[in-house]
Amino acid sequence: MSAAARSTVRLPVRVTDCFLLAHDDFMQRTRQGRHVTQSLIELDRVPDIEKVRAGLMRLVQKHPRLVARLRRDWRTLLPFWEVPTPPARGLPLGLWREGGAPGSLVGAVEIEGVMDRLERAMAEPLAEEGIDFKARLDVIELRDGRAIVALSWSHLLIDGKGAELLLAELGRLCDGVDLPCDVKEPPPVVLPWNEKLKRTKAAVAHLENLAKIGAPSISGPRPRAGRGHYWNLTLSPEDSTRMTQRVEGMVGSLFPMAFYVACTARAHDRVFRHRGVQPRGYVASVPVQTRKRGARGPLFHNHVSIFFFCAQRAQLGTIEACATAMKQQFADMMRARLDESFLAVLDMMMRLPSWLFMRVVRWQFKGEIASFYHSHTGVFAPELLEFAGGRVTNAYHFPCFAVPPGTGLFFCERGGRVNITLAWREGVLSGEERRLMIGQAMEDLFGEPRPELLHGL
Amino acid sequence: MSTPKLAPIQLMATQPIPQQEPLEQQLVHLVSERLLETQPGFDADSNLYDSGLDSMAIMQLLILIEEEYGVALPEGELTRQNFSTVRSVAGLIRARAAAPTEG
Repeated sequence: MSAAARSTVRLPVRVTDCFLLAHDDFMQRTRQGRHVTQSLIELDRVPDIEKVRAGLMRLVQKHPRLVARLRRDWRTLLPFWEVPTPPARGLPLGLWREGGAPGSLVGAVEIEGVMDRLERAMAEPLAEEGIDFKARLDVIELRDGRAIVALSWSHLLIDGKGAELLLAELGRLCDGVDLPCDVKEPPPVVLPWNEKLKRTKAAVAHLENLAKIGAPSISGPRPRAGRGHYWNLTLSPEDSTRMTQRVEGMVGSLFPMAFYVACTARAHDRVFRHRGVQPRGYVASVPVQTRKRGARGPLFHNHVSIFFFCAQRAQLGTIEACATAMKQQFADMMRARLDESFLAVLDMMMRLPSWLFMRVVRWQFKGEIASFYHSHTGVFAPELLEFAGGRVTNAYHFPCFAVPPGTGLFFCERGGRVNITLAWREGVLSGEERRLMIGQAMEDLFGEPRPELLHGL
Repeated sequence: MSTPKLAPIQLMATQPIPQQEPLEQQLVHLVSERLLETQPGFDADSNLYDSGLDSMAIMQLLILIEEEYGVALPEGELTRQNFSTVRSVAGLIRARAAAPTEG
């Protein structure tokens, strides 16, 4: 390797990155793979693969962080990114063809099941040829001639919003359009230690209150080896409108988040009750963006904080009561600046080695992290209309997380249609429990049972 | 179903809205500096949702309005339409500030 190829740039990590680093390390140590999430777009046709290859090459050259390595500075104890000179190749690309597909995707390998292939892409190492790739792209030609493009990405480097921006950037680069795509990161706020400590108090008090309720998860607190599984449903435009109207009728048009948290809590409660258990309540971990709204970046790093909602037994009786309680909690958490306070807590923990960081995270809830994960990420990459010659017809995420808690329910929108994604880890939910969980969610979302929407569970 | 309150219902002691620049202009600055990454040309009639307004940003805006103007907007006024532009938000603040104090 030449001297030029060995030159590196050192970049700092951000506060939330350290949580993701600890989480990734936890998953690896407990044989759960790595913290790799997937962002998918559906196209009306197979994309132009030569354009895709060229785009993947330009992407790595333009953003060499995609091959960066995470290290820790043993003087400051802080992790940092070591970014090398980019290699002369693009991100790894997998080409696949569903059995019976027309065969437009030249060089594609035939696969048995689409979902199995997508899940494997998330479970397999991203590194290739000794290069520490932080993402890969898989293109699957479907039986009906449409295609799925799946970007699998390491949560160490980007978050869900960043992945949407990265897909949009890749789409432009596939078309040879190279524009400034990122915004300058705001400088981190540097506070004296006593100020930092003061800022942590609201989050610490909040977590201490939640600890009295507990955060029981369906998996239980013990880590369990195995990969992630996913089920996604795209509602019809009519069902999406109907559901949105119901949500707005219950919590108003401005704060739908409260309804979706409540819906997810009740869906999980259905499984607990099926197991003959009625916990005092649940703690929902909901990521909230810290990027300035409307900004096209920053592209890299995790720019999120967490809101911990708590659905107590008395609130779980009806979706109305639960949504009302979650709405009040949302207002209370905003007023207490809990998002900023939680980041201050993470800031205090940045220097901890990952194993200790995770031990602190799990200590509060006796080995649990939260009862479940949930997010409603709004409209998925609205600016991404076409990708390498194909029209984007749908888009959604398959979020990755560990056991515990082992389950999560996620929502996003694209083209006026709502996507619902259930994610669970190996062995955490039986088929019957998945049907019960989603059945309850549908009943809350529509006000009546919708058994016809439970196919594929 | 009872209507949830987002803020204490008592009207805070209404402070006179500063008159050195129009309320709309103050809000444009507030939104641009503290809430949204606005594009050049953003003004009181620009669509806030097109500029990235979401649930989090609306809640932040409500809290900022309370802190800056001492006005707590009632639940019934929290509609998508009322938060579509800075001008419509300014109208809400004026109406609330002029309303008689409860209790």
